[in-house]
Amino acid sequence: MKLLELRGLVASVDEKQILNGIDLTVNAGEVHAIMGPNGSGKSTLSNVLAGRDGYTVTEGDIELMGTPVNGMSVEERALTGLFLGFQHPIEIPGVTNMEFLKVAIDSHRISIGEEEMNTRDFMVQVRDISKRLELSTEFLKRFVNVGFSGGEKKRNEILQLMLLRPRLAFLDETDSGLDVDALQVVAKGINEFRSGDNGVVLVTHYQRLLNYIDVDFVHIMVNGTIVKSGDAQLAHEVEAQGYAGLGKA
Amino acid sequence: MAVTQTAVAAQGDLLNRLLEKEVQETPWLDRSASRSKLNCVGLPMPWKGRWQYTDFQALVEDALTLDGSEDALQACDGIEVNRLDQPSSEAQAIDPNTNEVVSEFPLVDVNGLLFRSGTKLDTTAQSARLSITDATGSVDRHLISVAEDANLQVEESFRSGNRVTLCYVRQNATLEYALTMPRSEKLGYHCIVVWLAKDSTLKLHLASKGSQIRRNDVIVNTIGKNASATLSGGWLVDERDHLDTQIYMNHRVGSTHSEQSFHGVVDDRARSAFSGFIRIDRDASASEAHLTNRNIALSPLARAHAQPELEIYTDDVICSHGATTGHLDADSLFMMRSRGIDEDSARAMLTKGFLRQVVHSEGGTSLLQL
Ligand SMILES: Nc1ncnc2c1ncn2[C@@H]1O[C@H](COP(=O)(O)OP(=O)(O)O)[C@@H](O)[C@H]1O
Ligand SMILES: [Mg+2]
Repeated sequence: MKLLELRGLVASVDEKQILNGIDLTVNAGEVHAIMGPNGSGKSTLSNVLAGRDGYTVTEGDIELMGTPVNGMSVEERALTGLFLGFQHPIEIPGVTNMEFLKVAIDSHRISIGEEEMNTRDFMVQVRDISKRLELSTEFLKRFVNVGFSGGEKKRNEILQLMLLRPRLAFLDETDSGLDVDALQVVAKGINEFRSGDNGVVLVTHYQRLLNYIDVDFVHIMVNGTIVKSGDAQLAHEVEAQGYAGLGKA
Repeated sequence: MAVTQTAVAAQGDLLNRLLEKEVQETPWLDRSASRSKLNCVGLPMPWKGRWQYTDFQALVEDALTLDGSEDALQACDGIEVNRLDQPSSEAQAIDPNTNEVVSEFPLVDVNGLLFRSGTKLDTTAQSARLSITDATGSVDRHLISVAEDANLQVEESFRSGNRVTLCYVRQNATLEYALTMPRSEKLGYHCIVVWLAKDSTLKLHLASKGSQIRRNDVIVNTIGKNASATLSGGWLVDERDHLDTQIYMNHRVGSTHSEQSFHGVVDDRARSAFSGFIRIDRDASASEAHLTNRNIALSPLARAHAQPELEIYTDDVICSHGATTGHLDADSLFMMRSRGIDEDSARAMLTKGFLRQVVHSEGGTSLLQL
């Protein structure tokens, strides 16, 4: 099943064209990596997919789970199965992680006609995931990302991923700013999440995350377009030659 | 010009009616100081200065129609209570300076002239508690004195009417004051004036909704070294309600500290105003004063006016001061929606979160449904 399909996607941020024609298909069971230098448009792509205000598709199509996203709100896209892992996770003072997670999971359940999760089951599940991510349960009582270290914020993103179980995870530089230990924990979480039913897109600047996660496809993005696609081997070429060595498509 | 003359005439008429109003004298609190001050200073011009956002005359007219009520005091623990009509043996113990309040707060004197009920409260135990409840439709005045080294916790609820509470916090004493103001259809004027003696501490916390017209003044004077004041709170004003909160933090002696944080939310067609005034006297060197006030407007027709003011007469101070008015954070809103939370719920959670950062009291939490 096709989870995501981009056809000739051209998009602008605040009237400035950043994405210059992107084609990409992600099927269930696949893990893709999108690599590219800073400023190539990777974060712009994730925001465009999520439907963030100020990001406009000017040409081409986006389909999520076979449905065009035109006119879908941010939350509708999320409930359709898209999960965006933030490059810079956002702090929400005054809202505890616990209540945030509870409302998020309940929104998903209600959208498919289920009841809100009972608090006990919720607690059991959240504690279990926290443990697997080596996050103390004390983080659940704290305000979302407030005062968290860089690594804790990224693990908190993966916690949300593992709880919400989306069909498609689009993870924007989840590896940046992590030390090796944290990187391994995050990679473990992503590996536990991946399955034959879902898909993962890892946006990354460096090859090192791919030492811990097997990917099926690697795409190189430069100047708002994918200049080269291949298998995991391509990531090693990038590491050896740099993005410049790959030339323009 | 004609308009101004009419306004001046109306002010004069109002003042005369105030001064001629017959009220019973009280053994322990003299009305004459308030009377002579009003007589001499007069009433402020409407819709100017400190009364830019609140109908001063409407509040005075309201006070003129109100009565007294004796049911305001509830639980008292470790406090000697003297009602207004009981002669107090300690009448002389009241500091003559009690009536000296800055002239920008004339409603304190209007209350001083008109109050019909009230109490004089003195702590008798090391640790005391007091609860003051709604006394709808009264003009009342309370005089609280926290004895040296004592600790007093006050919980107060106020809906409408006209109430002034004067608090003396004596050396090394602590006053913890939690004020909640539920919504009301009526008019309300509320004022707390605090004098902080050497090494004393004030922790004042307020949580409020709006009312037809509601003005809340807090005046804090540090009169002894090492006195410290922490003022915090939040409000949520909606529908067509009004709330005007004015803080006057007056550092009169050196080595005193104050810290203020207030968050306000306005929705629908509501109006809120906040003025945080910090004054540091020439003699108040080595003092420290901080204030933040953040306001969020949830609807395009809601208005939040915020005005920080500083008056510093010495160089040797640490001071920070900021007031902002804006909207809910767009990034947070996007983040929550990207987790499947619908926009209305996300807004509601962020609004709660915004108020929770400053509202901690039990009464405030339940009033604002946090
Ligand atoms: N709000 C914005 N307005 C204008 N230009 C932007 C905005 N956001 C990003 N850009 C530009 O878009 C380009 C791509 O940025 P981004 O998507 O963040 O790249 P990447 O994530 O690959 O580092 C950059 O040139 C950046 O300066
Ligand atoms: Mg980026």
